[in-house]
Amino acid sequence: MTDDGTAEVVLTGELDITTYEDAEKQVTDAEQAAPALLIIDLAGLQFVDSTGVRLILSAEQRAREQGRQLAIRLGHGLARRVFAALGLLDKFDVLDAQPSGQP
Amino acid sequence: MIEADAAWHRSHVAALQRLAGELLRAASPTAIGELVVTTAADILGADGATIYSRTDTDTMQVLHVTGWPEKVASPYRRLRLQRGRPLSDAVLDRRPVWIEDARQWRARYPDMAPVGTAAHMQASACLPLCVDDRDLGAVVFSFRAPRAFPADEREFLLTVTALCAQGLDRARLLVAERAAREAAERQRDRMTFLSHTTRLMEAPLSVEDRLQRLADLAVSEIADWCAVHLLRGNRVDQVAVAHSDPAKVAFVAQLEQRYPPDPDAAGGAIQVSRTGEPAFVPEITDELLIAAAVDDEHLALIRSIGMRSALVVPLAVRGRKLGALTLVQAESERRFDRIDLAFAQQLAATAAVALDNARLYEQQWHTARTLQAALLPARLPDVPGLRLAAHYRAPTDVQAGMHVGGDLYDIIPATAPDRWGFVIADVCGKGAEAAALTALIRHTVRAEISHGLGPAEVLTRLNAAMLRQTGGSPGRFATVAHGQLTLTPTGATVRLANAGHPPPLLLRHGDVAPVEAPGTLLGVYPDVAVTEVSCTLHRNEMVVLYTDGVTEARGTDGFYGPDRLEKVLQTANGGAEAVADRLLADLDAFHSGVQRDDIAILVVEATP
Repeated sequence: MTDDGTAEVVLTGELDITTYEDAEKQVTDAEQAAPALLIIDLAGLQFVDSTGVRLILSAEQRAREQGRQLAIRLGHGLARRVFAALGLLDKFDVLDAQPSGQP
Repeated sequence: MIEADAAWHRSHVAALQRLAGELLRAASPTAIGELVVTTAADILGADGATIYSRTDTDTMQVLHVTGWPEKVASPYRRLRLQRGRPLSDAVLDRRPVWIEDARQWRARYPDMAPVGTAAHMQASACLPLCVDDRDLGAVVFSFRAPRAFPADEREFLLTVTALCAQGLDRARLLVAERAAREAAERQRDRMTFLSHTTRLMEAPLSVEDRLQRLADLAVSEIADWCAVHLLRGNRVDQVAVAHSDPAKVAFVAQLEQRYPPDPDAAGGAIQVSRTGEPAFVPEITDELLIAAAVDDEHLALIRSIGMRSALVVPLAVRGRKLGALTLVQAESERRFDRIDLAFAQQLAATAAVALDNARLYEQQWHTARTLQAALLPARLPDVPGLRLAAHYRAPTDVQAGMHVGGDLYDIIPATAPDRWGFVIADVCGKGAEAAALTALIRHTVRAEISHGLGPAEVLTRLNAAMLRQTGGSPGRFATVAHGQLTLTPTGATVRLANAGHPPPLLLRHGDVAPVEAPGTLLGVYPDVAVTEVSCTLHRNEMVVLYTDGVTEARGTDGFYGPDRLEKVLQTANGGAEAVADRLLADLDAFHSGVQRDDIAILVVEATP
């Protein structure tokens, strides 16, 4: 966690029902320090399905209950397409909302 | 005379060397006994010789006899050590007893003289066989002529005896070693067998198939016959039987049909299943068969099976009786012992635990299938003007079959005969909670359509219903695509709404186009943005709906993906069924390894 109370979890590999518990543990481990802002980075995932959405929805609920902020990075590949298809791009604080290299 | 002595000496030394060499090659105590007796008797010119091996502290057993008539020797094949008899004295005092003639026999051993001097024998040398402090037995050489046993002859005899004792000692060690090695090998084979059994009982097979495999395994390793009985309510059913020869299995099946086993027979599989008490018949005697036979013909038939040894052990878990495992030895002539019985009980315990788990698994499987059946239409309705096709595939992972899908499709009659609704949904997660949500979706959509609501409204109401059920739990959400169509003379008009589901595909004579209607997934947010779009289906045009198990299927080249899906649909010929079948076949060919997610496909074709 940085001095300004921000923690970031960078997920890698594949995120589906078979790896969900591991990913969830990474997130809940980071939540132990009660960061004011928790960033979950899904941009580097090789695969993600609606399980990734479940992970973020759960993290968001815990953040809300504990008065913390949650933000996500989606990159510009699969994770973004999954969140877009589920109609969720405007439901989260997406840090890399603009395509990279553009203001 | 001196030369004659020297010759005698040379011949005796040569004989001793020959005996020592042959003793080294003789492996068993019996072979050694025979060798010693015949060789020594030859060299010494003894007329009779008997060698005994000590079997326990007070008895000895004959290893070999030569020169004695059978009727004299036979009462002494096995003898108890008893003071006052020359051989017993020799063994108990660990020193030779020399009897030079019949007169000495009568004077020193009056009780035994008739035996010792039978067959015209006169002199006897009774020599103990000892190595260090081990008493191994004794040897007796007898002569028809009186013999003074001069010092050199005594020395020679004692040397022969010492050689013999060493040979016997070595042979006994060899025998003990071999027995220990065989016991160790048997133990190892059994552990291997048990581990095979354990693996077998964990295989994804039905209870009957597992037990049959267990029986097959048993007859390849530990018994000639194996049968398994299960307690089912009040009945005891034989569920598996095995023998290496199928003809014998058929024979016994016919036999049991003609002469059904007596349920009250003590030690029978039925009794053991009920009582939970093992039955052990190490030796099946003919008397037992006679007692068990119903009539002469039955007796002849059961004799022909050639059963030699049998054991029946209960299959029980935590005191609950499940059945019995029967093992029989027949043509192999093997016999079961107490160790076999203990092993069979261990085997039965392993099988019983696995059986119990398998039953639990089958119950859960049945529950899952029943639940799944309630979530999907048993068959699609016949709708004039439409051709419908659908497929559902449960995942093929380890827990396959236990899975209750979160995928749903349905065709629903609306408020008029020419109006129909269709829906496809994918609930996140699996298990009972996901199934409950899937059921809620199915029933809510059906209800709202019958109230005459349009697609976007149905999904909005569904969202509210889901929130009421889940309380907005973030893990419980679903994507749903829902359309309503009105049949027309040329096809159908379709209104479609989508809540985060993969866009349905319009298939128009080889042309594939997604129907984009962006919307938010259901079950999380109180306000969901669901848009509605319209399209028209002309004759033989169709809408293809699917869940993401299709595009996310994994093959050796990565994911199935939307491009491959589009290509398959473009080249699919024929109506709705042909398209759905073609897609499923292509997915099956594409899959490598397990299918992780469920797959649902629904195709709606206009056939005015």
